[in-house]
Amino acid sequence: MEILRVVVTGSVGAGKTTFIRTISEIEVVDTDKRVTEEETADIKSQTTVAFDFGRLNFESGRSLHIYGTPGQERFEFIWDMLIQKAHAYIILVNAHRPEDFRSTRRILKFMSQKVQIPLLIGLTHTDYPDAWSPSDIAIALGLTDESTRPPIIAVNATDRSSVFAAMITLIELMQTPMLH
Amino acid sequence: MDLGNLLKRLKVALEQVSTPPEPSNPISPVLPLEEPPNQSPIREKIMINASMLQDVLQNFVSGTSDVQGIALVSPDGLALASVLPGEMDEERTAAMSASMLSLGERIGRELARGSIDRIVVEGEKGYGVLVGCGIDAVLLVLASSAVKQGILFLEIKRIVAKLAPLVS
Amino acid sequence: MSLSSSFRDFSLAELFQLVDQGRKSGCLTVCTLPSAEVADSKTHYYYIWFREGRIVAAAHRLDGKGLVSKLTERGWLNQHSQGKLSPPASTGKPLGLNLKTEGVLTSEQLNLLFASQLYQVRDLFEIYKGIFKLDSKAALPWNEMTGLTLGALEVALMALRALKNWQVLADVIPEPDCGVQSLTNIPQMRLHAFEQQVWERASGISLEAIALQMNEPTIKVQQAAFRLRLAGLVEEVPLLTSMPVGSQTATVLKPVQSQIGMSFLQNLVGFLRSKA
Repeated sequence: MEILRVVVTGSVGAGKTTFIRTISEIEVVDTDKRVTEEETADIKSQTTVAFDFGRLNFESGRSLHIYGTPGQERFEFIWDMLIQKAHAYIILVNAHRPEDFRSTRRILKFMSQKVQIPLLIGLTHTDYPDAWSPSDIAIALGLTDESTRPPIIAVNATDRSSVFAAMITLIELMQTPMLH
Repeated sequence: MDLGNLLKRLKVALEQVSTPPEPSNPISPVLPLEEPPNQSPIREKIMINASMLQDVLQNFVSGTSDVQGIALVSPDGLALASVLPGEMDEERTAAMSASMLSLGERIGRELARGSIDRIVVEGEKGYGVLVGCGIDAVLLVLASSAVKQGILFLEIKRIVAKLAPLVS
Repeated sequence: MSLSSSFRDFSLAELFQLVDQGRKSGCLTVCTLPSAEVADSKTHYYYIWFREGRIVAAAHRLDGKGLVSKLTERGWLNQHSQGKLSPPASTGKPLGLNLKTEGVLTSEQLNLLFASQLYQVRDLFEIYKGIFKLDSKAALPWNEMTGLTLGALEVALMALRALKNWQVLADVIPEPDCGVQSLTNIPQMRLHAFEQQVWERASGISLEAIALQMNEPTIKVQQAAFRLRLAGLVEEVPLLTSMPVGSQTATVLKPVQSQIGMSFLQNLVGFLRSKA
């Protein structure tokens, strides 16, 4: 069995669990719990406390496994466990919540210091009127050098074709040799 | 260390109560303004019973032989109160406990094991036992390898009975 | 296209870096909210105009009379000269520049006026509770412009060097145990001596270590490192000893998982395309 492992990460409420639900052919194994923390409670009522798991068996003997991390930094040990086994990852960023850019930046730093694998940045909620532009978000995430930054695309985590398109973009990154 | 954390949280709660919320400005329609967040009811309860919780936990650790530590954790991995060995990071321990219990419950469901009584991590140096504590909290108990499992589980049942009314 | 947030979530310093690096233009409206600590504090509005990442003007008002009122305050504009002023926004040239070519103002006076605008901007950095919004479509305020400009990043650095209240940046400045590495060989910006020393010592060691070497308070080094990072002169790097207790992993591991073949990827892409 050949398995491609992709991690979907990003700050709280970016759309990770939704993204995986949209792509997974099986019912997503999630470990959501009720939110007690004020800051998160403003955004949603459930939050991932271990990880989400989704799967796509696209051919016999070949499968895509997708892992979603919890967004809060206290679950850093889970990020570590999951990213070590990943072939590629996506960081989702909620484009109309600049208050989350700082924590996203920390996630980006954490991951890029652990592994050097293909990365795609997916902006969610870009249709909101107060959403920031991709170039502004890139600078806010500390990706100031245009020549070395990962690709940034808009994603609608609830829309199947959008999520598939993002996954295709990520896989295409894996197909081109990585330049250092 | 743990009392310090509780005091910090009490202080934050008090500050939030005394600071007036930011007023909305009718003159400028263009600028976004934030509304103050709502205080979650369970955390208010914890604030009020904080010292009682800490007392119960401390008594448990001091009074039960072979118990090395205890932590009461919210379902999303935040520490509510704890008495832990010095080198353990309360925040990480809390997060790990929540992850472990939720994963264990999930696996238990998948394997048709019925509702979970407890999750036990048994190492050569001792035990880590995770149980639900009321609907809203997770309890982690650390014990040395010298402990008798049966007695430990019974003691844990007793303390859960004491704690559950304080957190629900 | 929008750019708005509150200072707590996105500091003014980082915003200026964004404006500079993104070569942004437009009008930045800053609204400071009343503070519980300061008696009688009210809501205030400030406006800063940028062109291609450079500050061109700043004012407390939107009626285009900010600069003119500064001039009359200082007595540099008498009735006769006022008559010489062309109608607003018709010239497409900064008011200050016009007045200089007309012989009404000297360059020293223009410098003072621009400096006074910059001081207003600098004071904004002390604010803790505030929100901002950048309107990239706003027209240039010719009547508020002296003709002098300064890069947003430079203004931010200037403000940070004078900053008294670092409270608002507490979450943003690098931690004492953070490792820093200097980036370019020769800094493009002019650095203060202290910053220069921190930059020279940024060889992948922690800020704490640098503070120890320099025999200076760690917080000063953290603040300097923040300025250097903003200016793109240092980057944060992992320290070998910065891993949390119990972590088994080294900084960068070679992937332990199997390599995925090209045909796998190709087939997966094909599958996804067909199902989208």
